[in-house]
Amino acid sequence: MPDLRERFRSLDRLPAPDMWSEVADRAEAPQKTNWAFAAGAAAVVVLLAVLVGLQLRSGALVGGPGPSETASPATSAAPTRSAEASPSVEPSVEPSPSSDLAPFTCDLPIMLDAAGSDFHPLVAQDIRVGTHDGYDRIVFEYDGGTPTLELDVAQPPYVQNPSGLPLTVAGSPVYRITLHGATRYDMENGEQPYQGPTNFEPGFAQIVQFVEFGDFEATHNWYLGVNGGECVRVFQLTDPSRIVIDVQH
Amino acid sequence: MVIVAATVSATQELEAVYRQEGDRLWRALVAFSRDPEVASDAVAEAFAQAMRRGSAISDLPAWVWRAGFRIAAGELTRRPMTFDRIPERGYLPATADLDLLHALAQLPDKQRAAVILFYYADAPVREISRRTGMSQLSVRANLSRGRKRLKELLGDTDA
Repeated sequence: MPDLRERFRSLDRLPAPDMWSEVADRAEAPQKTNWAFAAGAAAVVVLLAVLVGLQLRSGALVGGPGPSETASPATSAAPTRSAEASPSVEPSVEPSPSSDLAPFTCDLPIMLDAAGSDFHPLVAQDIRVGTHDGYDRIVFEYDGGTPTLELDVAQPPYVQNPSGLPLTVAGSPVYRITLHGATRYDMENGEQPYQGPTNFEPGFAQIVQFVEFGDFEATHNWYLGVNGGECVRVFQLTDPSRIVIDVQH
Repeated sequence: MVIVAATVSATQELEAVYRQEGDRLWRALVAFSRDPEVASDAVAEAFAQAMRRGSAISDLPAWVWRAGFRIAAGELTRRPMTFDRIPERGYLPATADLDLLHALAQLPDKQRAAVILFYYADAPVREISRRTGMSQLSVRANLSRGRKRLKELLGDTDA
């Protein structure tokens, strides 16, 4: 029988479609839009609006938290992922900067290569923000490696991925943080280790808002609205694996 | 404007990579997912993501292969490859080596990716590591196990 390499050569007989025009179309669209999802989410929004209206009219605000539990006004739409602002911020356990940390840079975009990652997406174990003397800090914690990170200035309109629903982000400038090969959902085990907020509005000197806008196809997206600051520092830590983003005051 | 010029040349560079790698990546992903639709979606999405990144990617071919496999693997995690989903006759061209595709489908994701990249994409271990995010040690282990299993499944005894 022919050897394996020859058998794999038979794949060359498969007629591959030319996907190039599709590539350009997708790249130009702000985000890949899942219309079924968008329509579903829109329907939920309408339904919620009606319910809220009914409840207000009847004055039935007794018993149960009711609509006040939905997303804060800063993030619009999509009650399916009601991001709730978290005023409480735990103290950071990451080290203070020392001489061996990379310097702050205003030169964007910043790319940070994956470290020790494996084939499947890394699942966020914890996500936290903190403020320190001279900088505000964001930490993504993983188990056994860190994903590729990309940080760049984001341009409005801000939208959620993949729904395409609009999102308001407070602060200026707004950065887009993209974690390639990362997610909050452990598909293999059906778990979600991080159950904390996906929208932080901590009121720090620099971090105004830090909000998730996508977790799709092993790409985890966040917007970071800051208070005029432009210089950031990004680095990795091990045991546990972490990505740290510092915004200079 | 400099930025516009840079974007244009980045797009041209990406198209050159597409012309060189696109078909092979698509076929590798068909072998990986056994689903031309998953392969098409992953190829288009990988190159579109590369295009959005402009000139920020240093090794474009490795990047799009890695992204393509990641996206396809993500898709398979959502809707696992089962024998119920073997494409109907005619869905894959008759020229396809269906025995090979069915045998591949019985390997775990990492073994399957390593074997396809090694035998079809002619990538050496170091390159497979770059394209999958596995360590070189892990590539070697998966390649060795995958090759052995594949030969068993295909009934090749003189391994």
